[in-house]
Amino acid sequence: MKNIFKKTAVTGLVLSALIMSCKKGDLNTVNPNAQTTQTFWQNASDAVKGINAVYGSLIIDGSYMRFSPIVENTRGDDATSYSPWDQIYNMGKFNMQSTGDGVLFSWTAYYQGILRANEVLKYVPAITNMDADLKKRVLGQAYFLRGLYYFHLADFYKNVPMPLVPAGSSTDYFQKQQTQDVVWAQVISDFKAAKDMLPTTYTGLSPDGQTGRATKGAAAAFLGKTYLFTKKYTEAAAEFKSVIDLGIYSLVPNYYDNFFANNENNSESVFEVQFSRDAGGTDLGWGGDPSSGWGRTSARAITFGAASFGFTDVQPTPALYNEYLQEKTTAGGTDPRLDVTMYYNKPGEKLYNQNFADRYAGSSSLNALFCHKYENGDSGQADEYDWRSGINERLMRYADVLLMYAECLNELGQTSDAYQYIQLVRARVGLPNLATVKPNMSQASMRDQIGHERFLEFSLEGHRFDDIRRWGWLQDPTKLAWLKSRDPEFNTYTTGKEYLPIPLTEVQTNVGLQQNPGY
Amino acid sequence: MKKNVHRINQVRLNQFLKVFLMCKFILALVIASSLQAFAKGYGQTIINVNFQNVTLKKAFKEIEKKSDYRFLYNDDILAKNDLPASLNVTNASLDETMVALLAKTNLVYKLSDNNLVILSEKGATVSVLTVTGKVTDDTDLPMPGVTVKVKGSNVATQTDVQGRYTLNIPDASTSNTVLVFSFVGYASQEVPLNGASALSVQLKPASNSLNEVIVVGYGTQKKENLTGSVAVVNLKEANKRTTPDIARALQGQVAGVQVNGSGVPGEGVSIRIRGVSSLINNNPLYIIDGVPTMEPFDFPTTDIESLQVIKDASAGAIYGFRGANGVVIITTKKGKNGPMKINYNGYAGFQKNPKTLSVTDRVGYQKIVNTAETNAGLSLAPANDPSSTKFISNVNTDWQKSGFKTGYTQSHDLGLSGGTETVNYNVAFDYFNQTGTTVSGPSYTRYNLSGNVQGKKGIVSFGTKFAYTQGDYNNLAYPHLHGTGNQIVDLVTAIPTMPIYDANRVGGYGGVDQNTQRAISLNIIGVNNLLNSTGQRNRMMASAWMEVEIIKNLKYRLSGSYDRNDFKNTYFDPIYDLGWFYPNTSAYYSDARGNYYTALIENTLSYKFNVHKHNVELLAGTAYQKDKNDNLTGIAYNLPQPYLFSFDNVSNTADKTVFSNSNERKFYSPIFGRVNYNYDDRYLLTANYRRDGSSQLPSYNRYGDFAGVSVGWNLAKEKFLHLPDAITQLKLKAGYGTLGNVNALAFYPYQAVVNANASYVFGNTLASGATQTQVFDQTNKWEQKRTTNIGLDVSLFHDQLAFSSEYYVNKIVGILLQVPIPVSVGAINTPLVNAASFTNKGIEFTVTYRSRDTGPFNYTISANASTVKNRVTSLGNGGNPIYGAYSKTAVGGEVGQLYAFKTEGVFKDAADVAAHATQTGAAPGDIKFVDTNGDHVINDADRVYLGSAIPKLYYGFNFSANYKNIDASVFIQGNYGSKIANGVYQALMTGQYTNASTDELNFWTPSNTNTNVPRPIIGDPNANNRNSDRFIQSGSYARLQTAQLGYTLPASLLSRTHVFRSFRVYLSGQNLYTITKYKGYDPDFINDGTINRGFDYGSFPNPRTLLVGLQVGL
Repeated sequence: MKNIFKKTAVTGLVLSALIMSCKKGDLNTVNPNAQTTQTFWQNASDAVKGINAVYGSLIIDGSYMRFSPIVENTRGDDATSYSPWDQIYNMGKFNMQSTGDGVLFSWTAYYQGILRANEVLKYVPAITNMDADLKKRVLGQAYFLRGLYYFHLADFYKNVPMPLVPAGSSTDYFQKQQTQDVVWAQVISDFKAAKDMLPTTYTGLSPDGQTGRATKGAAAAFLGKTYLFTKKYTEAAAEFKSVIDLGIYSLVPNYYDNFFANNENNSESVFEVQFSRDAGGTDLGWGGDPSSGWGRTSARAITFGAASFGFTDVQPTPALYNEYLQEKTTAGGTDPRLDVTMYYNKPGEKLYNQNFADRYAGSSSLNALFCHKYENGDSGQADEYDWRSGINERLMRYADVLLMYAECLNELGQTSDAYQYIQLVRARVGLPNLATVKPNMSQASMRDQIGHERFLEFSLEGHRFDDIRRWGWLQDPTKLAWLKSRDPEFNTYTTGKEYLPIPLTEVQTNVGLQQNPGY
Repeated sequence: MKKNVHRINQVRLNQFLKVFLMCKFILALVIASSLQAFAKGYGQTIINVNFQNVTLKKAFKEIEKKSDYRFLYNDDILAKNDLPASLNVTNASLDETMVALLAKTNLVYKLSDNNLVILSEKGATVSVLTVTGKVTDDTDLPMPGVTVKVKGSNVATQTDVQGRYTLNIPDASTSNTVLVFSFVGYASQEVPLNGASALSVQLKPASNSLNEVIVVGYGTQKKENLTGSVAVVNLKEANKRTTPDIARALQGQVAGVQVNGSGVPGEGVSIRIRGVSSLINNNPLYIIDGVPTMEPFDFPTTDIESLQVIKDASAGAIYGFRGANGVVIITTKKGKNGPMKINYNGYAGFQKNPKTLSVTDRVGYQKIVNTAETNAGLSLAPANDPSSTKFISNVNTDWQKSGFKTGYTQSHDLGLSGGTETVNYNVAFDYFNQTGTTVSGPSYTRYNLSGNVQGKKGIVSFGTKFAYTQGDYNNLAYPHLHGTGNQIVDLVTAIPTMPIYDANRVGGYGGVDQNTQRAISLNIIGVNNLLNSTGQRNRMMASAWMEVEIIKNLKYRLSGSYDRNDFKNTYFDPIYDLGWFYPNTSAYYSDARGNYYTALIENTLSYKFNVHKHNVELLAGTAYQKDKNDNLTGIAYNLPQPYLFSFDNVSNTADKTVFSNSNERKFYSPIFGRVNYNYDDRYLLTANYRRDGSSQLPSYNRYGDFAGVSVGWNLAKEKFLHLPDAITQLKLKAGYGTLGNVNALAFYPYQAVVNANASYVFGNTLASGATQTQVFDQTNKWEQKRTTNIGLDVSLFHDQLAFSSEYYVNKIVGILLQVPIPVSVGAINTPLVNAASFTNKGIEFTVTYRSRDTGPFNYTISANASTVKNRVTSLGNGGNPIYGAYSKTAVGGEVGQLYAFKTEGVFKDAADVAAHATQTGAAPGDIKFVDTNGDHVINDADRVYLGSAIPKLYYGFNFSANYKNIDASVFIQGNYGSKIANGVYQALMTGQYTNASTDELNFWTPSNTNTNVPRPIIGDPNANNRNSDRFIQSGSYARLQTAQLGYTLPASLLSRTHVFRSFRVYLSGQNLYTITKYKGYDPDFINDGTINRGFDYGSFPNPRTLLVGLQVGL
């Protein structure tokens, strides 16, 4: 009996010694769940996946899934907010706190996009076994998207840090704040690089032959826009002209076709953010580490949506409504852009298959204005409450190229040349020839005219506040008073609030960063 | 001088004796010697005595000594007849002797059986009662040599080898005869005779804690000889707190252990041993019968036999890095030699929220919102506008009243145990249930089956244990499209004009109408009823060990354990319409399953020897541990109705996905060793060493060496010191050690992974995107915790009064910390870096007083108090402060210090606003923030420190007493000197569309200026509601945590039943009364306990519990 115990003991000893000895190597574990940077960035497929990921940052909360449209629209006099969420309510009232999520979302989204672009720019040049043209296209898109993201940062936040390579170690984390001018210069440099590397179209290309990728035209248009924002009118005009001269863009006959899930990526579309209800999962891809459950949809429609169909956080202003009524079409009708832009209580108005008048009978919403652009009220959907809109957000329409070109011409003293490009846009919606209605405008009058034209053409498209700011209206007491009369949200504007506060978390962690003046 | 020495020796001998008597196997020696004693002198009836002028009493004693006669008398009659006696007889008979002795007295004698001489007064009738019985110990073994005495007399006897005694009691007619049973090392017992002629008792070991054997890492040690910082938990008191979680039971019981928890059934607690020692994971390691786990809460507390908390590195180093936050050693109950015993412990009771916050009703709510809208220049919401047809006047929901309910809790534990010399066993079944105090809110049910077997044969001893637990959780649920909010905040801020039920809405629950009410308000009662989030844990913990004593005292031990948790979490979000912002149009179901396990093999070799007075114990070991994690999650949406939770019912495959799984492993392989040395139990030394390797670290930083050493000096055992008799123990101890920690790290923390889901969409086709979305730190290494500890243990009057105090300094360097990096890096994560360093210093006191176990009234008082002073000595990234919710952690300060704006009342008019520093958006009636930096602008730079979130003092106080069969106890626990940022109160003071505190009704108006409540205004342009001192409140509290009253049926009664061994009923109340100035639900709340530790954002209030319990032994 005792022998058995001894044997057991010895066996145990030997066994455990064996276990010990063969397990040493286990401490070198490799993550079986994901590739690492050591195994990725090896071939063309990796490069394309890498660039697709850069686009991925366009469709999260802070970018175009939700909050960039809020930042861009609420501050203009075309839109207002009665949202019960202070982060939207106060955005248009220039009353954001640096602690607010509303100012953090976009900051986060664009810098994440920049990291991804920087990774492509770092790793893809070193990939040897891939087609040189494809490599060029991939890098061109990375420059374009990085430029686009820095454009948004400079436009929203003014003076921002500007990492141009992925952070390799902790010393790279603390990038110095750059003045807005430096950032604009970088944006120009990126768009220029992109313009030189990108094709005019991806049709027929492989493996990246998808519509929706950044093209030479898109890069040139945004390069022109950046020049325009920095008042380099000659350079801007040249870029817009180059886009026009590409000859591949044209206004769609029907203004309506620019804002809904049908007719996306049409001839007027220079660059648009792609959303779809059909691809990916159904979880809302707010942000954070992407998961396969994420959908690729936008929450703009539910956020801006009409009462009882969406959250109505953003609504058109009466000033916008009234301005559409200023000028009749040549046929004597109302500017068709009014009905495309908003739902309101007009005879026969329907939304989401319901009669406007019936749905809101007896409530204060009966006389309210609701967003129609970028909403699914005509699609057959019952409401927006699944949060998932598949409507692409058009960031750059050919109409914008035309009107920006006209503006450049006017600023360069070629006011009379500007008419034709403005009229292209007016004619599409049936408005009479501007040269006939308002001939021989002065440069100043033409500026106002362009302001009016842009207001109506791009309402709820996020351009209005940019225009107001770059035209200096906020510093012009007359213009500011006029804005206040059109949109009482300007009553709480104070100097400096034309830019968002830099999120407090960044100010606190990135020591030396200066908060924007006025906060 | 000499006398003193002699005395000290006596005390030591006494202790020595006690120690030996405590040990069961020594009993045999005692039995043997007792046998000899009893064998001596039977039949000695001839009397030879010689004494002069002694008392009668002494005379009888002398005769008893020299002969076999024993005398039985009443002290009273002896006193009455006590004349000096002198006698010198040889070979005298009893009669001769007695006649001579009693000649001048009024006494007569009578010879009874067994040579018993009964004395009585002349003429009095003598009644003698013979009482017989048996005395056993707590394991039912007979106890020889126990003194059985009639209280207040010298009538006494001792038990024989079988533990039996016979006692003849004169004047037994007096009804108040009480027998006292006493034995060294055991608590004496007094039992009233009540005329009975048979009386058996069971003696329990005395509570002299010095002799306790304490389980320390991979071995045991006598408490007296402990040198490390190890606290022994008084389980009897701790277990009066009925909780399913042992970590919770530690609250207030151990100096230096801070526990906070919420009232969510089944939710874990936040536990800190000597303060924050890490930033990500501060949970101690629990060793349950040798099996390490970080999750102790699956097992019933009643199954625990002993509980120790290791607080410093000198004792904890043997557990290596997993013990860096402290180690809680749990030993569960084992069977004991003897017949099978059955124990039942159970209780049932109800629970209620002890506090209701005062919030506005419909009228108050509408008044505030109307004012807020008017102040913002908005029209009135029709629902609040009395002139509107949509005005709501018939709904006035009290959400707290409707949302909280009386909950129930019950627990039943049934155990069997027993054994023989070679094998013993213990099997227990436990059931626990807590319904929670929110309507359809979280609840918890647990079933546990556990058992163990130990045996010994020859040189081999072995044991095995298993425990299987099923825990069913009903979790908090939130609409999946809206992330997570906070149920408590949502409940208290729910507006009174929202009905609970609304048959017109899908789902049947009320909601807010966007067009008329304008508020976003979540119907939590609806959520709790409609949504369903469940969790199921199936935990199996199994272990086995075998020990071979190769030669005497050289032991090899092999042990293996496997601790596996299979979980299933489901979440269901049906179609409903809970009003504005909360409609759900697609039913959603997710089912996440997985398991994780820890497999561990340990080999240890130990050897024990002594040379003269040098006692040495050596231990060496190796271990190998594997942790594995596997999970899989599937989701389905557009579930058809009726809802069935099988994915097969979702016919459209696009509506269901298995969307994530993972498979993770990590490995550790330490070697370790220990030396215990003492010289003559006077000079003590323990040294520990462990070398750890972890797969979580990059290879160049993988291994860490950690060691601890502690020394002790038992001053009371020194011969050259002349300590008063009263001092039983006086021990000085000191220790120093280092521990490593990588608990904060994930499985593959340093590997730069690529996320393959960063996809985009072109057309309607997913465009696969992959990129590195995180940044990784390649320099991770071991966190190092260096602990220094000095302590003093004093025990007086045979451990009746015990006092211990310790001072510690813990320096933690290279703390793995998610040092916030600028968002502009673009990373989704915050990488962990070995960045921060802290110092925690503190003093701990524990004092216990036990009354002597002699009278019918006994009591124990114990109190403990501890302090933690935390100081941050470095932070990553050049010492850049870390900001949290309401907090700023900076070098030189303490972790999680409260930080916000300071206020100075309300602007009374425009001139007041104009005169103040520039404060954007300010108007009369708004909060005036203090321009602390004097730059005439109120901005983020004006925030200041507003108090410590760490209490200055933690304390616990236990009082327990018993009188005869009644026992009572009181446990008070609390802390002092902390501040809490009350996020719930802040949410109730917004002046927006949500419901408000009744304090808000005192808002500023041009006619109500004497107030500190600002004007309500939609949008809050002045940010009146920003984090400020308005919401910071005192966190000090003292809480009557437990009061218990019990009754134990007398042994005499039980022995007659022949069924019950013991029977106790009790009534217990918990969380009965709290003294605090805190305005929230509960100053005992849960959060991350570190950076955000001072912020209470809707922690579930701990319920008040009343219950009855029953403890039965068969």
